[in-house]
Amino acid sequence: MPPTGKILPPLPVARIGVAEPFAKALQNRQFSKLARPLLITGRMNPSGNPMGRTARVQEDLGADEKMAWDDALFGVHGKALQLRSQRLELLASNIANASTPGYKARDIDFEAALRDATDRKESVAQAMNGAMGYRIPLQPSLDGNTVELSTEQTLFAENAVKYQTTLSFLEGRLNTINRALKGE
Amino acid sequence: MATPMNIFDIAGRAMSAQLVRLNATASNMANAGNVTGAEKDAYRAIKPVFRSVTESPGVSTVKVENVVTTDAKPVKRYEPNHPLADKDGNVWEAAVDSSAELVDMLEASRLYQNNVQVLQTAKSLMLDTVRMGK
Repeated sequence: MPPTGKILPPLPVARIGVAEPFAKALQNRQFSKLARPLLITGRMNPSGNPMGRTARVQEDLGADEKMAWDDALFGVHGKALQLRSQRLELLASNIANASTPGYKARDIDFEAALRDATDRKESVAQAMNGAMGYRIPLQPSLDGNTVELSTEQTLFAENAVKYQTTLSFLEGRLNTINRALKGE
Repeated sequence: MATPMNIFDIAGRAMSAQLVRLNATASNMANAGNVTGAEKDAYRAIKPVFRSVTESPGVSTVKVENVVTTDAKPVKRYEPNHPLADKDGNVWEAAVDSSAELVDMLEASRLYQNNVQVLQTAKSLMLDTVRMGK
């Protein structure tokens, strides 16, 4: 804005009388949000270990807010890649602790995690925590360790391949955009 | 820790832990069959104690908490002609179960290999990600 030389009126000072309706509206909005039913989901670990309960309380989204999460450029693949990478770390942790007494192997329900991350627009960390559970060992060992290397290695390899698949989907999108930008 | 733990930390530290275990096994094997003239001087097998280190739920690696000597009893043997024998003619052989040590060695080396494999897979995936779109 070009300088006009005119002295501008002072900025309006917020007075209680003016701000009150707004605060009330805010309060009402918060109230209506809280009044919605809460959906509680949780997964128990098989041994009943209190540590294993990963319960979470999440707000049930209204139909109007439940629009599909869409990233114009990467679609579902951006979140999928993040989740795959996190799961890779999780399975690597299991393999690293294959000989630690008392270690309990964990994994995530990938489908549920992806659904939470996309439909419910949760952060990747939240989605991971929500879909995490303990692995049920086929043959429990005496030292309390529930890592079974055959299972972990198979899932690790599978996850690595799926990571690469997601990566190639992303690469395809990038190539498309690149081609459009270059106008070839 | 300043930076969050990543897959390279997880597998790398697990490799270090398995290496400590392998070193302990090597020490035990080297001392298997050693004899001494007193029970308290006899060698006792050493074992590393592993503990998992968790940073955030699900992301955990392993560390060697300490190395302990086992409480296995040295084997007393009556050998009066042995130069190290005590006044009663006894010698004490190191408390090492060599077949258990060999099994331990095999397990440690297999787990080490597993972690190398994890590292290789993670490395190639990360490189693919870096090269994405090129």
